[in-house]
Amino acid sequence: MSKMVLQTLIGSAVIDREFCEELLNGKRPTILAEFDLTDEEREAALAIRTDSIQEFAVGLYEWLTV
Amino acid sequence: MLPRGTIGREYTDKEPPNTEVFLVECLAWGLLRAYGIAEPPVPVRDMIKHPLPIFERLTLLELNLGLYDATYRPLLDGSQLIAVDLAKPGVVQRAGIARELYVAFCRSPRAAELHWPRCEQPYVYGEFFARCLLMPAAWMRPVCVEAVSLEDLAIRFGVPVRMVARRLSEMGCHASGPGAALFAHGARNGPGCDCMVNEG
Repeated sequence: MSKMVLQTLIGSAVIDREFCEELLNGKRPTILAEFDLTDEEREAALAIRTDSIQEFAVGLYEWLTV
Repeated sequence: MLPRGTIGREYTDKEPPNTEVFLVECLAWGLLRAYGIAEPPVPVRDMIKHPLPIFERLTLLELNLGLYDATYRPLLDGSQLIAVDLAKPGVVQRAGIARELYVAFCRSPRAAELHWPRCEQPYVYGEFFARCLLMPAAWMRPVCVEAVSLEDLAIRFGVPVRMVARRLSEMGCHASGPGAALFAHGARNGPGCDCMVNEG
């Protein structure tokens, strides 16, 4: 996942409560479909189980930097 | 009349966790995307004049402060303002407004419900947030390969020269020439660019 796409995803969730709730619940696949992600990137984002945007961000950051 | 505020600001010598730095950068970039801002200079005054819901009842007050270049204050009626010192240079005002915008976010209900890191010490990340907001990495990386002076970059982004130098440094850019002392502060951010900058 490109860093800027990742930042857009997380930043949008931080400032938009409704977007955040959809990202962290069952609508995540629909939300992610709106972003230009590879299959691998989408799988990584879908694999994170959390109801916290901070934990979601940490998970993606670690995936990105490993 | 402004309510009484706390004198002095909180800073820390500890290196912040990369994940917190990353979150702050995400917030800055998310704001730019939400406002549809695609190029510098970032119209930070307009961002406050047309605030997003998370900055509800936030206004900008321009006057002669005499103490700070800009400062955030919550008011007794529940509204909030960012006061900026008109006596300061325009680029300093912009940097101050951007920094205080982060303070406003840290004081917002949204930050509280997210348990935003170090909300009680907004100035730990305030300056960093301002650099990310006014000079996002997506816009800075391309200029890293240009032979452009710090002064020209400062004009392009509408920020103080020292702020450009700090941003380039934390992104991992290198500088040479008489202005290299401005790069004295080491990088503290994660992935960045590896480039040379002409000191002009």
